[in-house]
Formats: sequence, structure tokens, C-alpha cells
Amino acid sequence: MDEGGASVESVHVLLVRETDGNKSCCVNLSSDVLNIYHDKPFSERRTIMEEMGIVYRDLQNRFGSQIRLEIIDPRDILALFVILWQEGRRNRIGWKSMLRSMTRGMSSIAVFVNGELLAHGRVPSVETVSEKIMGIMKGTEE
Amino acid sequence: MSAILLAVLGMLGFYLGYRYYSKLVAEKIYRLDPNFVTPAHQFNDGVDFVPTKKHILWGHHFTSVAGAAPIVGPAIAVYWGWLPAFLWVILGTIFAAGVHDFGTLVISNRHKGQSLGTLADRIIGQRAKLLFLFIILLLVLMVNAVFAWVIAKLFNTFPASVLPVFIEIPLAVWIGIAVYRKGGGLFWPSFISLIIMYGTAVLTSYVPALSVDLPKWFGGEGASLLFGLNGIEMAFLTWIIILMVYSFFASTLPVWMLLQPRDYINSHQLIVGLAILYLGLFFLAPAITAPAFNGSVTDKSWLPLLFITIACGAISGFHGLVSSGTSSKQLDKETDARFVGYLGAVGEGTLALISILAVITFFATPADFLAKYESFGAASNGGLGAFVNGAANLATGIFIPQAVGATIVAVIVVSFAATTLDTSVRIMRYIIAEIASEYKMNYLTGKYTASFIAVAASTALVLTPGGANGFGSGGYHLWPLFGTSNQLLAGISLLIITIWLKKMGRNYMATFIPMIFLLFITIWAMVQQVFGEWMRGEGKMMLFVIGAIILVFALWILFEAWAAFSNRKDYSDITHEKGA
Repeated sequence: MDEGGASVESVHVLLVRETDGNKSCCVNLSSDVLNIYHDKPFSERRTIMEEMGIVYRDLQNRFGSQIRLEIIDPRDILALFVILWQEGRRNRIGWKSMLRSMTRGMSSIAVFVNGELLAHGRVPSVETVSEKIMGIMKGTEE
Repeated sequence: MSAILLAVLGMLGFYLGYRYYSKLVAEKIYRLDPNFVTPAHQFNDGVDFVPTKKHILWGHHFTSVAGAAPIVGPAIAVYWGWLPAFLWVILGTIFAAGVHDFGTLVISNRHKGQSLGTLADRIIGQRAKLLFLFIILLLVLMVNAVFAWVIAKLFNTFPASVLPVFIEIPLAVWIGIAVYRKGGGLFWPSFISLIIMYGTAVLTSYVPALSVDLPKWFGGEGASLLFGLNGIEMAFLTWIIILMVYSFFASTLPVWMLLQPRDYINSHQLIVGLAILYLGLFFLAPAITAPAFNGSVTDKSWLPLLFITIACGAISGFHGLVSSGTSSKQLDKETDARFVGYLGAVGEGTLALISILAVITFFATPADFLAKYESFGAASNGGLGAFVNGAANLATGIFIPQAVGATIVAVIVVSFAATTLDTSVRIMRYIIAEIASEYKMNYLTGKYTASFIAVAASTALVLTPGGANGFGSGGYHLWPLFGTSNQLLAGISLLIITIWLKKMGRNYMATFIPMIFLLFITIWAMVQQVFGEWMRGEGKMMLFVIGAIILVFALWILFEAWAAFSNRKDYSDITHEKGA
């Protein structure tokens, strides 16, 4: 355990990206309804989902149980804020930095490591995320 | 009687339903297994299949199904008194919606996260899949017409809401460009948009010149305009045309430009709306002024109409589409299905509950309520207005002026309804294009042609029914039809779950009884309306045709159920029961 109380296993990686489909009652563009149509209206989102999926699988393969990997849709705004708040508290991030991370990181694409915003606006490379994780692990091991 | 007491009783009912009934269903009927390897783990790809914490998944699931419908139905159904509506919302949520939403999640989880359409095909057969698609098409058509009617009604009743709602369109486009084209963040654009919308709502509430009051502009009830329409009828016609032209363009735009950004604005609005209503209720602590039973009803009996007037909020088949194929791919543990599915239905129930509470606390005396709700037609036409005014009354509990509260609540309801309209016209366009492509009618597959057909059919449907108060006032006939379409979808989902439970040798009464109840109520209501009212009614031909189609679909589901339960079905192809 380091001074901040984080253990090697506790590196938290949060991938933020939207899922295809929209939200509305009493019909929405998801599952069965999307399957009806030959064209995919959310093709751009789909591409991002797949790019983020590559990052997710690579991180999982490289770090396994050493990281806690989560994916969230930014439309779930309350859940996103709660997770970032919890991680901010766990990693002793100042409230100003936490607030800045939250407002900048509420993006259609973002990656947070231990509550800190690593990238937003585009999907980062696996190497970028891995370096950050390894940096944290190295720091905690020392 | 205190409204808070009723709210607490309702919440207590939901709590007991979740604590005991859903536990019983989870353990004895669905037999959830904490060690079952869910599709999210089995196929974990970080794309569609992602193990997700149950609280996050619940939030995603609930916000995917919440909207205007659980507000509108209860606001109309209090016509028969608040007690029948209250009981149906609470008991329907506990014994029908909860089991349905929970069950569709479980069955999809047990079948590799497959969607209901696919499961209908596999568990019942190709015919059931066809029926499933027909019901979706019907539901979409009804949604187009009903939500256009809802928006037009609200614009005519609350003209101050028009400008904030129309401002939302360029704001959404701005968010779309800022986020999806320039890669910017979402927080500030969506937050600023909300401030601009509500700021405009405050302005329009106090500056009459900023209200787009079409009925007044057209001269009101006394005017005689084109086709002999009075000012109110002309305003209704104008709004329907504007909304349908808007839907045509909205449904042909790329989704990133309007539809996707609307999700962010609506997510914020759902939080704002629920906070205003429940905080207002607890701070204002109003008394219930409406009667528990409306003894002066002579036109429409609560049985069976109550159960199709309140669909969403008591049970909605649409939720099964979200549970299966979407939420089921993200279940971390099978036991989370109870929390996500059952409580998802409870979330919808709380929206319906606050809708009832807002209406029944608004009127000064029972006589005022009875004057407003003098007939089913009056209730249908005025129920939504009563909800908005009632909600604004609750908002005064947290120091939001009544006029501003009414405008903001109307803006929230219209925003939800407009998103639904955008979506349903788009879905109808897809279905038309696919059917045309299947039958080699390529001239109908273009997006503009297919959208035009979707919009034209919906316009005809919303304008056709004749009502007691002239042109456009018959739109309320469509609401129960929308309810029945939604109930039929729930009926077929419950049938699929029931057959699966039977195949597994389990007690299937928990899903069988709600299914039979829904089919019985739907058939009863449609026989009553189709043969008793619409068959001989002047100008009711379209209602007759749609009602007859719904009746045929209900009988079709009944036939499928009979075929399944008379042991003439081979269930050998139902596999994938065990996780890897």
C-alpha cells in the first residue's frame, strides 16, 4: 500500500463512450429495432465502441486482475459523477482537480485512470493508457 | 388525506414488492444463479458485452425507458378516481411490470443476450417473430400519432412552452457539432443549453408577447376560418403540420446532429423534473382534493379501459426490448437482473405515481376536479394540462413560481415526447424501407420517400378521429389504442417467458396470470370499442380498422399461447440454458 492507500490491484480505469441506440419512451433505436434496418444509423458510435473495445481487451489481457476496468455511457451522468467522485476521494484528488476532470471528462469519449482524466475527445492508444497504469503501479510498488 | 401519505404508501408498496415478491420470483421461479456465467462475461468484448455494476446498469436501463408516456396515461386515468389509478400503478408495477421487465432480462441472459424478436422466433416460431414485428410497426404508428397529439395539445394549452422547446433544436444541433464534429466536451454545452432553455421559459412565462399562442392568434373558439375550422381547431391543425414537417426532416438527418444530443438534454431534464416534483411534494405537503372514486361517471366504465389507459407506469411491453438484447449483455451477475429489471419497472412506476399525485392535489375542491374531468373525452383532452398545472403547483413548494413551473414542466414533457416522435418516425421509415426492399419496391426505399409515407400515415391518423369538441379533439381515442399496442407487446413477451418456464418445468403462474389478464383486458376493450362504438360511428372508420387489427393480433397471441400450452410444441431447440 502507498501513502494514498491505493494498492497495486486498485488501479481503476474508466473508459467513457456512448453505446449505439438512443433513449426514449416508448420506442427507441436499440436491439430489435436496430436489427430491422440494413443500414446502421449509429455507425460512427459503433466505430468508437469498437475502437474502445480494442483498448478494453488489450488492457484486460495485459493487466488482468491488477486493474479494475469499467466502461460507462456518458449519458448516465449521475453514475459517471458518482464513480469519479469515489475515485477522486480514494486517490485524494483535490476537489478543484476533481471538478475539472469531471467537467472536461464528460465527453463522448474519455479515459480516466484512478479518477484522473487521461484523454478525452478521441480514443487514446493502448500504449498511452498502459504507460499511465504502469507509472502508477511503479509508484505504488516503490 | 395527505398526498405525502399516499406517496409513502405507494413507495412502501414498491419496496415490499421488491423486497418480497421479486425475491420469491428470483429464487423460486427464475431461479437466479450467482454462479451462472452471464453473456457479459462469456463474450466480454468491451463493445456490446461488458460486465457492468448493477447500479450503473439500472441507471442506464431506467433512463432508456423513462419518458412522457408514464405521465400522460395516469393523468387521464384519474378520471375514474385516484384510487383505481393508484392501485393499478402500484399492483401493476409489482405483479406485472416488475415480473415482465425482470423476466425479459433473465430469459435474454439465459440465451446469450439475444433480443426478444430472436427469442420469439426460436421459442415460439417464425410466425411469432412476424407477429412481433407487426406489433412493433403498429406501436410505432400509434406512437407517432399519439405523441404529435400530446405536443399539439401542450402547445395550445401552454403557449409559453413553445419558444423554449423550439430553441432546443438549434441548441441540440450546436451540441452535436461541438461534440461529434469538433471533439469537445459535453458538460458545458449541455448545461448551458439547459440554462438557455429554462431561462427562455422564465422569460416567456412573464412576457406574453413571447408566447406562441396560436389559438389566440387564430381568433379563438369564435373564429370561422379555412374549412370552417375555429381558432382552436386551426391551431391544432397548424401544430400537427409543423410537427410532422419537423419529424420528416428530423428523421432524415444524421443521428449525431439532433437525436443523440437530445439524449443529454433529456437526461438532465429527467433529473430536474423528478427533483422538482418529489421535492415539491414533500415541502408543499398538499392535500388530495380529487375523489377516491368518481361516482358521476356514466360514459366509460373503468373496467376494462383503466388497464389500457395506463400502460407505461403499470406495464409496458416496450421495456422488454430494452431489457433483452441491450441490458442483458451487461449483467455482471445473473442475480443483478432482479435489481436492474424489477427496479427499472419500479422507477417507471414512481413517474406514474407522481403524475397521479400532481393531478389529484391540483384542484381546490372535488367539484372543481369533477368539472374538469366531466367525461372521458374531457379527461383525455384536459388530463395532461391538469398534470402540468398540478406539477407547477408542487413546484411552488420549492419556491418556483406557478407560471414558471408550468412552462418548465410543459417543456420537459414536450422534450420527451418530441424525442419519441423523432425516433418513432425514423423507425417507421426503416420498417417501410425494409418491407419495400423485401418486396422489390425499390422506389419506396429512399429515405425521403419512406419518411414521407411515415409522416403522411401518422398525420392522417392523428387528424381523422372526430371528437365531441370538433376537429382534432378526437385524438384522445388514440391513447387507449396506443396502450393496447404496448400491452400486446408485453403480452407476447410474457408468453415467451411463460413457455420457457414451462419447458424448464417451473411454476409459470407469475408470468402466465399477467399475460392472460393483459390479453383478456385488451380483447374486452377492443371488442367493446370496435363493435360497440367505432363500427357504426361516423368518421370512426380508421379507429375501427386499427382497433380490429389490434383485436386480431390479441387473438393471434391467444392462439399461440393455446398452441404452446396444448403440448403440441417441440421445445427441443431451446438451448443455451447453461453458462459456459
